[in-house]
Amino acid sequence: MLSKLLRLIVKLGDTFGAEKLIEISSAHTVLNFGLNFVNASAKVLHQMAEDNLKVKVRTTADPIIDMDYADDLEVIYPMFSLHDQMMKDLEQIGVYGFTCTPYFLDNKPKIGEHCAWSESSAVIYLNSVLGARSNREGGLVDLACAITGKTAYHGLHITENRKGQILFKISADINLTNVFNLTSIGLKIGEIAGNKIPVIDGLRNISTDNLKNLGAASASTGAVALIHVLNITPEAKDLNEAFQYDKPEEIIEINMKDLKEVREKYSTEWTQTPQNISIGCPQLSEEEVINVLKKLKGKKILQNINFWICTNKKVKESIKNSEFNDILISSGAKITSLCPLLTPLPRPLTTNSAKTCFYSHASYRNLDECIKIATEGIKID
Amino acid sequence: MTKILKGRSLSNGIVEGEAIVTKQPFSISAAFTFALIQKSKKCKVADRTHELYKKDVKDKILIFPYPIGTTTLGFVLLETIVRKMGPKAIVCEKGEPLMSSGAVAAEIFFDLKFPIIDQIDFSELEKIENNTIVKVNGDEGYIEIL
Repeated sequence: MLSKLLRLIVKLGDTFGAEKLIEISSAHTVLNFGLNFVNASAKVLHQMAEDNLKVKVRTTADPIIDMDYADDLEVIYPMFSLHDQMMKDLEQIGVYGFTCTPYFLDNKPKIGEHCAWSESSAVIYLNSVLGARSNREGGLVDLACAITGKTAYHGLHITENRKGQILFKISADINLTNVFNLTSIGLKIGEIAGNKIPVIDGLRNISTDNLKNLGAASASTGAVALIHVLNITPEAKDLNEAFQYDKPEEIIEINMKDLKEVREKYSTEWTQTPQNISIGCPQLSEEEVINVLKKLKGKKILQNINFWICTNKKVKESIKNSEFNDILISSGAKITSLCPLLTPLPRPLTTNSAKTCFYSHASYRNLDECIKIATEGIKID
Repeated sequence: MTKILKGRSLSNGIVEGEAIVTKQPFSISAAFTFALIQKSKKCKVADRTHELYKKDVKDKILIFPYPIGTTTLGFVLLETIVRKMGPKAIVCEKGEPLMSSGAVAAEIFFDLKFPIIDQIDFSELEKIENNTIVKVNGDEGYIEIL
């Protein structure tokens, strides 16, 4: 099995012009959700475990179903027939974490480190915010890299290939303190950039949490794996560094009209009150969860709505053991480690996440509107 | 008269089948996942945003400009190959490692061949009419329009 895993990496590397294999320091896999259609991959994973193979580097995996809510989601859970076996096998080979934001746990590579990550929102964060290096690996290849400790040296592992290509200027008419605008910018940039590398000028003081949210949007509408933000991200101190002393292929301005246009294009407009509202995709940081809970203070979620606050398991436990647990109980919001995409929440669905809206036919709203709908429903005039 | 178009082989195998051609980039995850979940014998494209929506691509030679979509793409393609419910081969202008990984894994782990060829100009590919018989040679990296 080990030689087959190596063959997989070498064959792909050969085809795409890699001259060698390189050592990696970290991996992240998407081959973990036990939905009933990944039999072939589950079989390969099982074989890895049977052969007693172990990952050579720190390896985390994407979110899994959250058994705390098995009753609420009983319609969906029977679809995860491969879940138990895959979890057993992943633990056996040394994979842990189960979040799409492993950098909030201890899988946080340093600048310049070579890695093999899948999960498009995590790859773009790793390349852009952390300055580490990974191509968009696929499920199975990511595990082959984790077990061999190697990946093929091509694409974003090579400095010259990390050069910015398109310059996006953010128009002054966009209010950048509004997170909804930032994620909408992400949708628009991904759509235009495709698989090119964007450089953004004009995002002052953007937090790493919002870089996460913006990047996830671009990685949905495009195949973007690296975004440079001038004066913010580690490989973009100025235009010269971001474009490696070359000129942009194109310069594009993004204004409020563009943001309205992408919202209309990607949002599915449900007119009924949603059954489910999901906040956070990628999963929220602890600070983001606390921000949501502060807004929910003194409010109550309507009885037939599930209001999901998605975060990793560690933050979930930490919040439940904090003063904020009172707000969870009084509001009726559900804090969870599930993924709103892999756990297909019944529609109508509303979300503040650009990524969820893109993949799940959800209505796309800002956080305050999501809370208003959750507590007051949709009023039809 | 047969016409030969040379490209690059991304995975091995030689097959022959009817072409189905789209000018739109193709998301394999969005197109095939639903059929897999349904355990369908056909492979009707489930991507509502795609012009091939509801078209059955089982046993076809699927031709599009380039693939798009998430990092689940590889194992979704692998599953359709192992279940033998999808197309017979893929031909495009610009492939990438995620898509290749599904076909390469099928050969390495399941001994099943699914040829993918890229680096053929789409201006040539779009001239191929639907249902034309195309032979895809993934061992040597070319297609033959019969």
